[in-house]
Amino acid sequence: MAAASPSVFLLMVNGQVESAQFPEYDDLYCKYCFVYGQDWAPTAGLEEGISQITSKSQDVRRVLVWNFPIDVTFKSTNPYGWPQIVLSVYGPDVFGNDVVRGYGAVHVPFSPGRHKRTIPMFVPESTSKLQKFTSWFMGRRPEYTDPKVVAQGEGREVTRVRSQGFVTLLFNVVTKDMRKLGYDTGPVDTQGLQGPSLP
Amino acid sequence: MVSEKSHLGSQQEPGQEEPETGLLSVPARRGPRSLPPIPAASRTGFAEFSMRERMREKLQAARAPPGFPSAEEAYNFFTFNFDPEPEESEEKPKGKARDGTSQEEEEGEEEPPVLGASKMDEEELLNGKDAEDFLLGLDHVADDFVAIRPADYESVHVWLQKEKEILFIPSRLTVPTYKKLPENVQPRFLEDEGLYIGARPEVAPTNQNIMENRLLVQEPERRWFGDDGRILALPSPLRPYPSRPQLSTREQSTKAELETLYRKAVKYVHSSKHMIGSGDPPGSFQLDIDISGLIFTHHPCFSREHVLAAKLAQLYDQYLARQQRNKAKFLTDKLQALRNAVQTSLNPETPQQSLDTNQKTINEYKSEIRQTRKLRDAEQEKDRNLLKTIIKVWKEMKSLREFQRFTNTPLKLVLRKEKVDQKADEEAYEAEIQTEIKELLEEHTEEYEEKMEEYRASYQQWKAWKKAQRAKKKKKKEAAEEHPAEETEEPPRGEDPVKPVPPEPTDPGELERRVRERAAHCRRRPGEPILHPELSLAGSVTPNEQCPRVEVLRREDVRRRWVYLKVLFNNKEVSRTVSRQLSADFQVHFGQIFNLQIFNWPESLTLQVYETIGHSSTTLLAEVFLPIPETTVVTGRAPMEEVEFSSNQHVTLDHEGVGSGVPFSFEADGSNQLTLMTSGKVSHSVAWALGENGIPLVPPLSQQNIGFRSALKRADAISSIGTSGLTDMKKLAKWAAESKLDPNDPNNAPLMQLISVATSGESYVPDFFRLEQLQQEFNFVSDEELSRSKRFRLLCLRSQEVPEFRNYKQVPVYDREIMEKIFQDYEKRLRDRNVIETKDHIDTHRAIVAKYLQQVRESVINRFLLAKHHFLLTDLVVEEEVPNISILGLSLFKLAEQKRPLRPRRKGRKKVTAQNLSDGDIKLLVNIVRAYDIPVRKPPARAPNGDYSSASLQSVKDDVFINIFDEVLYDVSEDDRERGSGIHTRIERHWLGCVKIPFSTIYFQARIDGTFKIDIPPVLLGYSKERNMILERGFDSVRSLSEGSYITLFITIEPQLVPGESVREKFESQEDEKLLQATEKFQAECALKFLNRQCLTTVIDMSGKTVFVTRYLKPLNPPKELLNAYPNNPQATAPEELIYQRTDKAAAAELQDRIEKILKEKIMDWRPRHLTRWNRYCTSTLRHFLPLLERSQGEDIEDDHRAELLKQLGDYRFSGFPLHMPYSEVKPLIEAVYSTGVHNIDVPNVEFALAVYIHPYPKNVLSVWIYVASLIRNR
Repeated sequence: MAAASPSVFLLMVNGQVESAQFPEYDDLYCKYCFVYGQDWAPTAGLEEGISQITSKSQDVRRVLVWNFPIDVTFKSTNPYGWPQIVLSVYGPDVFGNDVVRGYGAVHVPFSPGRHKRTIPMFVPESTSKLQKFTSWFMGRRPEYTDPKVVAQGEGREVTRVRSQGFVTLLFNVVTKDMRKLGYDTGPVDTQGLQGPSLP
Repeated sequence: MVSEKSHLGSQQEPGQEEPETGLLSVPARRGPRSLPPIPAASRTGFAEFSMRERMREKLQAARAPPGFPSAEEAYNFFTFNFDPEPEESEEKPKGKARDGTSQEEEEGEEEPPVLGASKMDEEELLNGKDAEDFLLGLDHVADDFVAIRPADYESVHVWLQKEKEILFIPSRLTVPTYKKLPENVQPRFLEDEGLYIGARPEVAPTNQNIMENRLLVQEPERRWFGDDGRILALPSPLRPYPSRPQLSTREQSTKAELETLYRKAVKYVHSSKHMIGSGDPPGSFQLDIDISGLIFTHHPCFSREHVLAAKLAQLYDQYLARQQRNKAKFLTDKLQALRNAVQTSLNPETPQQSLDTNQKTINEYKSEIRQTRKLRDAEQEKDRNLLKTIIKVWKEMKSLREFQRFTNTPLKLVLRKEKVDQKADEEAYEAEIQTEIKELLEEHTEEYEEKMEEYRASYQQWKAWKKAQRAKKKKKKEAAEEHPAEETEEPPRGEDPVKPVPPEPTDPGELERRVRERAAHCRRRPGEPILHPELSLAGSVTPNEQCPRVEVLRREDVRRRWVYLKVLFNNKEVSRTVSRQLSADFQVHFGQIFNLQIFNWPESLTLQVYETIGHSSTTLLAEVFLPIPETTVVTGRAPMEEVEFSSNQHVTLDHEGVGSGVPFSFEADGSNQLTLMTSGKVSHSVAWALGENGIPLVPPLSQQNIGFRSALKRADAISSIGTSGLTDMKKLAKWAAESKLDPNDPNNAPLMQLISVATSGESYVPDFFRLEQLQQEFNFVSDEELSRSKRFRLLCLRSQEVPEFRNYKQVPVYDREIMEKIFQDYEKRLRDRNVIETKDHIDTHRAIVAKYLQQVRESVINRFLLAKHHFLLTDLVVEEEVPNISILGLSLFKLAEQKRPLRPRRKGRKKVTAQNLSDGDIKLLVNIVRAYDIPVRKPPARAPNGDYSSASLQSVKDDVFINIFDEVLYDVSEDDRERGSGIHTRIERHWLGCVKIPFSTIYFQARIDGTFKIDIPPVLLGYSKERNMILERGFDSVRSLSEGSYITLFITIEPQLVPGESVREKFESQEDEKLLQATEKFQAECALKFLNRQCLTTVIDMSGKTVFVTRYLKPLNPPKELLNAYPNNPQATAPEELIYQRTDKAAAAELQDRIEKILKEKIMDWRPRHLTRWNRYCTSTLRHFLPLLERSQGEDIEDDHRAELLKQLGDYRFSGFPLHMPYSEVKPLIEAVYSTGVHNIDVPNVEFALAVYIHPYPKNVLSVWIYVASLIRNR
C-alpha cells in the first residue's frame, strides 16, 4: 500500500443523519443514498439506507431524532462528481397514506474532519390547485421520479417546490492519497465544528 | 287545502270564529297545505269542514252527560280505528249520502250547525283547551273521512265549447283578398306592371292560408300583406343550380378528377438569417426602446391658430438649424479666403513654382470663387426669405388672434433688432458689390475673349467657304453657258454655314445693375438692423370662460383624446405605452423605456400611434418605422431622435378644430383653401442594452444580413463598411478616399487624424483584439500539452457523450495508465465513417445503404441524447392525474366487484421505471396458450405426440422468435432383444414454423395477448396441414377464418416496465405553427375517437426536425415486371419519381452461391462434434425445385414436390422445409437457419441438403429461398 504513486484516492465518510425539524409533520422516517460521478465507486459500507420512524420530542424543541448512521467509503480517480448524499423524508398524512415530506441533498464535505450540515428539505408542488386538492385527498402527492434528481441541476427549471423543514447531518470525513494525487483540500481545524451551513 | 280558508272568508259567521280557531289550527292547516291541490278541492274542503263541525257536535253531545271523557279518551275516541259503533256507522252513510247531493243543498243544511258549533266551541275552549288541541289534530287523519264520490265528467260538447273560448284555430281556407287589403283598395300586382319580383319560396298553400288567417286575427293592421294581398316574402334564397362543381358522369373522368396530385416534399427553408444561431445562448440579446413623447404637428383638433403656430414653430426650427450651421457665413468666409488666395498667387513677389501651374491654380480658384459665390447667394436668399416668412406668419397669427378675440397658443415671437453702423455697413456692402462686379467683369471679359476667338475662327471658315462657293458659281456659270441643259441637274447643295455673329461686349452698367438688384433681393440693405427672431412660449392662453362656445368645445374635445403607442417588433406587438391624455398643446409625454429581449434579428421596429376619443373605439393614426440601431449604439449613448409620422385619416369636426384631410381656409370668403393631414413626431431612442459586465447584448455580426444595408447609405461610413470596418484602418482610409471627405472639415478632423496616424504607421495598432488577456497566466500547461494528454482527451470525450466513452467508469489518474487501445475503436469509427465496408455485405449497394442507415441511426441517437437533457415536468415529478368521471366510476365499480371471481384475471402490476433496473432484472414472460392448425405429422410416422410448447427465446435484443417444433421420439434400439430391458430413444425436433415478435413491441405494449399466425414454410416435408381433423375438434371459427396455423400467446415483461416514452418527439419544426396546432388537435380528436389506433401526423426527418407526415405520402407504382404479371392494370407507365433499375442477374447468382456456401459452413460450425455430410443429389433436386416455389408463391405444389423427391431419392426419411425471406443482410438468414434447429440432429448417418435460390426483382429487391433438409437413410 505504500506505493509511491497511488492510482486512486479514498474518501471515507461516516456520521449520522441526526435529526430533523418539520414543524408541521410527525412520525417521519428518512432514506438516504449517495449520488456520485462516473469516476467514483463505493468500496465499503452502505450507500443506501432507510431509517426507523421517529416521533417528535415532547419538549419545546419538537425535534425528530433519527441518529441513523452513515458509513461508506469511496474510491475515485477524479474529484469530479464528488459524492452527494441525497435525503428523502417520508411520513403519513392525515389519512395515513405514506407521503413524501422532503427531499434534500448536500455534498460530502471535501476536507477531512468533523462537519455538521443542515439541509433545507423541499417537496415538488402540484401543478394546479385542483391537482393539489386531489393529491391531498388521494394521498398521492407529487414525487420525484427519482430522489437523485435533487442532486443534479439538469431539468430543475420545470419543477416548482416548497420548503418543508430541515435535516441535520453529521459527517466525519477521512481522505487518503488525495494530496499525493495533487488534490489539496486545504488545512482544516479538525477539532472545530463548522456551524450549520445552508447548501 | 287552500280553498278552505277562502271558503271561510266568504262566510260571515265562520269568520267570527277565526280569531280563536286560527290560533289553534295553525299546525292542522300547515299539514294539508303541503299536499297538491286536487281539482275538486273546494268541495272536499267543504266536506271536510262540515265533517269537523259535525265531530265537534258529536263531542258536545258526548260531553253533555256527566263524567266528561278526559282529553286522552277523547283523542283516542276519534283517532282509533275503532269497531263500528252505532253513531259512527250512522255517521258515515250520512256523509256519503250528503256528498252526493248538490252543493247548495249541502250548504243550506250545514250552515246552522256550523254556527251553533262555533258558539259552543267558544264555551268549550274555556274548560277544555287541551282537548280541543287534540281534536283539531284530527285533520291529520282526514283520510279516514275522505268522501267517495263519482268521477267528474264534463261532456265533450262542453269541453269543445270551453276550448273554443280559449283556443283559436286558424282556418285552412283561402282568405279572400279583400280581407287582407285595406278597405276599398284593389290589389295591385307589381309583376304585371313590369317590375321584377323574385321567386317566392315555396310554401304549401294550406300553411300559407293558416298563416294568413292567423295574422288577420292576431295583427289586424295588415302590415304583413303586400299590395297584391299576399304575405310579404323575400325572394327564395335557393339557387337553381349547385355551386359545387359537378363531377362528370363518365367513369373515366371521375377517376381523373379524384386523382390526387403529388407535390414533392419541399423542404421549408426557415428564414434562419433572422434567427440567432442555435449554438448561441438564447435570449441574451436586448433592445432598449425609449419612447419619450410625441408631438402633433397637425391634428384634427388644431384650431386655425394652431395651424399657424405649428407653421411658425416649424419655420423657427428651420431658422435655428440654419443659424447653427450658418452656411452663408461659412461660404462668405470661404469666398474671402479664395479671393485672398488669388491675390497672393497673382502677387509677383511670391515665389513662382512655374508659370503654368500658377495659372492653373488661379483658374481653379476662380472657378471655385464662382461656385462659392453662387452658393452663397442662394443661401443668403434662403435665409432672408425664411426670415420674411417667419415675420409674415407671425403677423397673420397676430391678426387672427385679434380677429377671433382669443388666444389658443402661448407662442410669442419677438424680433430683436441689432443696430449696425450705417457707414461701415454701407462701405462693406458697396465693397462687396464692387468686388463682385469686378470679378464678373473679368469673367465676362474672359468669356468675351473666348467667344471672340471662336467667332474669328468660324468667321474665317465661313469666309473660306464663301470664297469657294463663289468660285464654284463662276465655274458653273461657264459650264452653264456651254451646256445649259445640265444646269438643272445640279445636285442639291448641303447646308450653308451661317455667317457667325460677333459676340456682344458686356455692358458694365448693365452688369452692375444686375448685381445690385440681386444684392438688394437677397441681402440685408445697408443700415438695416439685423433681425433676430426669438420664439417663446411666454404668451398667455385665453381662459375657457372668455372663449366662444366653439372654442370651448374644441378644447373639451382635445381633453377627451388619449394617445398611446404600440411597439411592434418584426411585425409582432411586443409592448405598448400607457394611454396618455393629449395636452392642450398637442403633446403627449410617455417617458417609457421598453426592454425587448429578442431572439430574432430585428427586421423591423414599428411604433403604432393610437388615439382614443372618450370611451369610443381606438383608431390607428399612423405607423412610425424606427431604424434598427447599429451594433455600436448602446444604451446611454443613443441620442434622442425624432421620427415624423402622418396619417391619412379624414376628420371633420363641428367646432373650431380644422379637421384633418379636409380643406379649410383662413380667409373669410373661403378662398386659399388648405388641406392638412394629421402628422406629428415621436421622440425616441433605440439602443442595444448593456449586459451585466458592460457587454452590449447585440447578436453577433454574422447574424446580420448584409442585404439590409442599402446602397443609399453609402455616404455613411458605418453603413457602408459595417461597424466592424471601423476598426480596420485600411478599410476606413479607403472609404474616406472614395467618399472625398473634406480633410479640413472640423467634423472630420478626428477621423482624418486617426487615418493619417494609422496609415503612416506612427503608432502601433494591433490587427487583433485579445479576449481574456489574463488567461495566459492561468494556463498551467500549454494547449498542445493539454491536447496530448490522454486523460484529458478521455474526459472530454466522455463529457461529450461519445458512444464509446459514454459510460466510461473510473478514468485512470495517470496518462500512462490509459491504454492507446481505448481510442482505437473510436478512431477507427471516425476513419471509417466515409469508408464503405463491403466485407460484411455481399453487394456494394447494400453496403452503402447499410452505412447510410448506420449514420442515420447515429445521428438520431445523438439527437436523442441531446433531447435527453431537456426535461419535462413528467420526467422529474410523478403526479397523479386528476381523476375524471370514468376513472371514479370504475373505482366505484371495483368496490362492488366480487372479491374472488371464479375466473382469475390478470391484474396490473406495479410499474418500474427503467432507470432503477440493472442487468438481469428484466425477464420476459411468455405464456403459450394454445395453437391451432399445426401441421400434423404424416404416417408412416408414429402416433402423434407433437410437442409445440418448446419455445426458444432467441434474441431478446431484437426479436422474440417463437419456433414451433415437432418433437419426435425415435426408438434407436439396434437389437430387438434389448427392447425388453432398456429403452433407447432419440429425440428429434422438427421445425414447423415460427412467430416473430419484436422486443420493442412487447416493451411498448407492456403485454402481447392474442392469436398470431405462424409463419410456416410452404412445404414441410413429412407434414400435412390436415384441416379435416381439426374440424372435428370444433375450432370452427378459427378454422374457417384462414388456412394458416395459429398460436395464442401471452407475452409480458417481468417486472412491468414503464413503456419508455423517452423518445419524445419534441423536436423543433419548420412547419407552420398553425399547421402544427391543427395536427395536434387532429391527433387528440383521433385518440378520443379511436382509442387503439395509432395516428401519426408528424414524423422526424433526417435532420431531426419534425415534419408533417403528408410530405412523405405519395402513391408509387409497382415495377413494370410485376404489372406485366397483371396485364389488366392499365397503369403501365413508370413514375418519374421512382426508377426501377433492373437487378443484375449475374450478381444475384453470385450472391446465391456465396450465401449457400456461407450457410453450409455455418451448419458445419454448429455441429462441431459431428460429421456433416452433404447430399449433393438432394441439394440439386432442391435447387431445381426452389424457382418453382418462387413462381407459384409457395402454393399447392407440395404434393408434386414430395412425390418427385421420393422418386428421386428413394428410401430416405426426409425432413426439411424451404425458408422464404427478403434479403437485406446475411445475418438474418443465418439466424433463421439456426433457429430452425436443423443442425441439432445428431443421428450418426444423417445427411444434409441445402439449396439457396435468389430471385431478383427490380431495384435490388431480392427474394431469398433457402431449402434446408436433413435426410436419414431408412434401413
